[in-house]
Amino acid sequence: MQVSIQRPTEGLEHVITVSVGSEGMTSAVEQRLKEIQKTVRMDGFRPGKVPMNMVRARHLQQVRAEALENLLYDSFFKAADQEQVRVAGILGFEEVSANEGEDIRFVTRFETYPSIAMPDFTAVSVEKVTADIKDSDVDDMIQRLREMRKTYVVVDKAAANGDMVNLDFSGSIDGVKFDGGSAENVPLVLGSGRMIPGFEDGILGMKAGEQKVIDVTFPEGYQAAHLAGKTAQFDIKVNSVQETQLPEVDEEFIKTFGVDAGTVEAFREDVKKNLSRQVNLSLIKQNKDNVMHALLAAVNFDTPKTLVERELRAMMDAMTKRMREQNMPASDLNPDNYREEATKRVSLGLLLGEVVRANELKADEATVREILAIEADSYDNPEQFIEWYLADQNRRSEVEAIAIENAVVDLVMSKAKVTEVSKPLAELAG
Amino acid sequence: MNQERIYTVIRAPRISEKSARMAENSKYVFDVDTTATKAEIKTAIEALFNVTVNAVNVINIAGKRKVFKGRSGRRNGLRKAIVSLQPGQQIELMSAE
Repeated sequence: MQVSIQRPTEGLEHVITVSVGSEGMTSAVEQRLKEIQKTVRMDGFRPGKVPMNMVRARHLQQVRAEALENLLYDSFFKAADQEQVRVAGILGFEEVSANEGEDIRFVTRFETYPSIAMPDFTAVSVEKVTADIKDSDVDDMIQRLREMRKTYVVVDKAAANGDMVNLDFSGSIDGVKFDGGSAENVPLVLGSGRMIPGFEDGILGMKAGEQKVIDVTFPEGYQAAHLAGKTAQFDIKVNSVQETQLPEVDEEFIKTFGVDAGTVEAFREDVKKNLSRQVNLSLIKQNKDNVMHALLAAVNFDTPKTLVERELRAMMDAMTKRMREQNMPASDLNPDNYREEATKRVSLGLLLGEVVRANELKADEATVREILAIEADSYDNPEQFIEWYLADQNRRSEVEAIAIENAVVDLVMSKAKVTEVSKPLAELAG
Repeated sequence: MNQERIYTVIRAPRISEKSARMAENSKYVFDVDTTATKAEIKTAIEALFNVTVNAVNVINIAGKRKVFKGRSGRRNGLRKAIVSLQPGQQIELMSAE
């Protein structure tokens, strides 16, 4: 086998010219023909009884094409091995000449993996995000929980913003009633902006049982064109006014959240625990992102196009599938919009792999379990969950990948210039 | 015998295990027109495949009797010709596909 390789001065695209003797090919073809002779079906013959010359006449071309392809890949990878290049992807075979009895010659264009120089971690600067959970954060959270459970109580007072009123109304323009302008027993939360502007303002200050006529102008560009910009008179009758009432933070309220002790202290403790779990997760994620970005920025290398295309295709497939599940047309996805993201992912993958290799990072059992424990914490039976999760090889390697990523993050964090930034909780939520 | 007759006399080669075995001894089997004579077959084969024919043997096979809705009928019969060539000569049937 004769091999000549052209290495590029820049970029990853190599060109290799290979010439191989055709004996391997001929014997492969003969062997394959013999194999299919046993199974070929042809009218007038029992299976396996078709004479060789007929099999050859019918299948030779196809078998040769197959054998040639195999041979191309085989000898290409052998040649690449011989030249000690790490192939990332093949761009194409060219100038294939495979005449009977002659040596087979071909030219392959391919890409190698980039050689990544280990970045000097100490020169990398990373922003490390931290967050404290303050009492006010817990208060906010409890307030939000109370609002989720808010109830309405009938009161005898003038309707104010935030109150829910129950009303009948009928609207007319120039004395003529119009379609959709009347309804009875409509619940409406004032200030919710569900009605046209001005309507809710007109109700403010009304009491249960009161009746009045208000003028409201439909906004320009209202979806019903014949009403847009017109002024309508609404005859409004308020049936009842209800005030929102937030539940007290008492034992009953607390117990609905699964805190059996029922005391305010225990509840605050529980809320704080949940909060800190969420915050921790998003902190880890943010810090990981930061480290990855810093790493990528610190190193400069070419990304093999073939790998990017493969990643892009995988991304498109996943996205198309997701969109189809949501019954959306997937045809308007443009791969070009995602090429940058795909490039980033591939570079990151290569870089991470390199860092892991260079530093011999491994996912050990203890860290894997630790990571899972965070997840398992919200289950009733954490131990059982962990055992179940690790029983499956796919799931296990998923966690191991995370563990390795974390190890990289730790490694970089321990060496890089770290600036700590404390952020308020609200900014972390996203 | 005119050109047109040559193509009507020989209908198709019979491809089977048996005919493949006979081909090794330069004997080839064809479906021929039921009215074809040995002499016609000989000239047709010699003209079509550019070979020398030593002998032609023919077999008539009667069509089966079939009864359909109480009426009896008969399927078409068939005439086979076994053409023996000059020893060593060959007809390439597969490439004629």
